[in-house]
Amino acid sequence: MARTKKERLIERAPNFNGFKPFGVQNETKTKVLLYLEEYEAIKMCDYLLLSQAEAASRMNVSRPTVTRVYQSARRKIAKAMVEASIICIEGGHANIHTLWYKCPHCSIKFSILPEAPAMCPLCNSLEIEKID
Amino acid sequence: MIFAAALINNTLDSQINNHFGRCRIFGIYNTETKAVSFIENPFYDLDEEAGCKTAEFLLQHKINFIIAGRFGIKTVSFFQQENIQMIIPENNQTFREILKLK
Repeated sequence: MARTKKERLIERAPNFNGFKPFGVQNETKTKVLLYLEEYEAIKMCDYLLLSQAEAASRMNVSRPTVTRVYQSARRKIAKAMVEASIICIEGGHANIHTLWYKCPHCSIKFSILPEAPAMCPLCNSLEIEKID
Repeated sequence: MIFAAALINNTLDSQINNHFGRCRIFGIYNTETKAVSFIENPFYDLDEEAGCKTAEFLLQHKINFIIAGRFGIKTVSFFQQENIQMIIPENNQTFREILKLK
């Protein structure tokens, strides 16, 4: 089996499914699959104008990995633009960058809200552990 | 505070469902009014996006917390954006046990 990919962390998934070209003359309905981490790489590098090093640190992967993911994204988008394909944003090897904590009293894992203090939502205890 | 939970059946003694989007029954508990209700998820058998549609559906009930065994990546993203905390039980607890109700 090929070397397993390290999970790429993304801030959030897009709240739409992709793009469809309109006014297509010969509709071939081909599809390009843009992975969630590739969408995130485009967002960080081309929209937020971060450096690839900064994007790598946010995605928790190495800088060469971001370069590869970004190049793949650009190539796929170019292919969709030239071939008038639908772009589906799904799949890949990503996970959401959530802060998960554990409460040993209640035997639960839970997510916390940004800016809010970290305490167990069921017993309000502050004796919670962060999960990596 | 309003807690919602993915359940196996529509009783307080139901275990928490290991799935979120494909779950048919949700339990809702309001800590202030102490009211318990059970609702059916109309999106449980969608081919795609069951999680996202179910999450949007639950928003109508003004929930603050959601309990289930697992959440898909888009669902996690959605709840983070809506400031709803996700809770995953580790021990096969029932709805009653998790909420510590009598």
